[in-house]
Amino acid sequence: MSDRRLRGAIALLGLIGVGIAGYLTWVHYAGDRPLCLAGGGCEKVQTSEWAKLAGVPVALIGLIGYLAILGSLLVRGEAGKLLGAGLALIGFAFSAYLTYRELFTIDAICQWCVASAVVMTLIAITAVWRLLRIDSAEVEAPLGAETGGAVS
Amino acid sequence: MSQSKDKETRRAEAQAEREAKDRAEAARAQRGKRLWMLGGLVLIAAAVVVAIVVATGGGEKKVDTGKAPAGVTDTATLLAGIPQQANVLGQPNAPVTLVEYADLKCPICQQYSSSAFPQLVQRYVRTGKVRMVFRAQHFVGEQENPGDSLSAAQMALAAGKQNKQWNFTDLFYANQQDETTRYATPGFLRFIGSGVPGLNVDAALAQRKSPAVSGALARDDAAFRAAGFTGTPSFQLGKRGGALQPLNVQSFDVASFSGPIDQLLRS
Repeated sequence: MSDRRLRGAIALLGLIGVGIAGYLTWVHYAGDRPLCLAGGGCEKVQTSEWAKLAGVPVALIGLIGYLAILGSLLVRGEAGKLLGAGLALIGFAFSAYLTYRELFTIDAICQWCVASAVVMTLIAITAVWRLLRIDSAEVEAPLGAETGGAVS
Repeated sequence: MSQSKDKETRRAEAQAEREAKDRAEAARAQRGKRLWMLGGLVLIAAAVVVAIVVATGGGEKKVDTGKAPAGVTDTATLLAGIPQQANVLGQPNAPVTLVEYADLKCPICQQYSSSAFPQLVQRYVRTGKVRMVFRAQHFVGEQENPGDSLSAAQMALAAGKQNKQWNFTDLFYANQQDETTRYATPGFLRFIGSGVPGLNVDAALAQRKSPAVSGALARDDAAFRAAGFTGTPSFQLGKRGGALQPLNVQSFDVASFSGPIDQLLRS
């Protein structure tokens, strides 16, 4: 798959993530209950001790994370790939921690949080794939002229 | 002629082969470099998340029972001068009654307590339009820590025997802990009670397992079941002397309550 397609996939997933985290952030500040398709897990998770870190709602942290990942797509070359993969891996690790808390501490599952964790996992996989994928243009560099790292 | 052409072709082929080999080697080297980078990123990501979790105490609120509970002044100011009688807050002859079924360990009840409740008290209870009734529930976290939620409910009702139940519950919510942990210990209950002006904490602790408190708790349980509620917080609303109706609120903004209350006040 070309770098262009991988970037497109990350952009699409990032936008979905912004939608989910944006909704949960809005619900938090509006004082509303999140729309839950089954059970009351969303509310239990959203109002638990783990819905905030140092007073900052985790939904807002997620929103900032997704926006940062989208921003990294604007950085060209290896630096952009490295930044995107780094942010996605931090997001993945953070999602894994929160999912652990849902399953083993809060004892409730929030569908929005699960959806966000799935999206972040897919972004992490795609971003790592993008980082490890070597373009033909990139291997020309050591042999001859500097490509400047602009790959699409 | 043809020999020199063959030679040229062979040279071109050899060069192409050499270039392909160089490219493959460069790609291998590049991939190796990226794998090292990936390893570094994984370590950084793990370190960042561990640092966040440790620095923020994993989201858990730690209570220093050596200090005064949080929100003592807010609670005292909010409820100052409003009549209390056992589990009732407000003028006994207020035209509208709002009943709240709540569990002190329930985080959503805490959300209500910190959002709509203070505004409702100021707007309707202090002005004599609404009287609030608290009906204690005790099932949150009971599977993990049997008796903990019950202990909190008993202490609230015991504080009610001194007409301080609303101060106690409001302060308890302001200092609420993780619902999955056992924290409503006598030490914690004493800590919360110490922030309620005029409450004889020792007497309340002694009374919390009395037949009077058990009876009140049984009545609250029966009312909860009779209303057909299954979770907390649940609410009922009605005119004085009239039947109470369940109040389904979609959110804890004051408008969710003020609409139905104003309607009853007008009728």
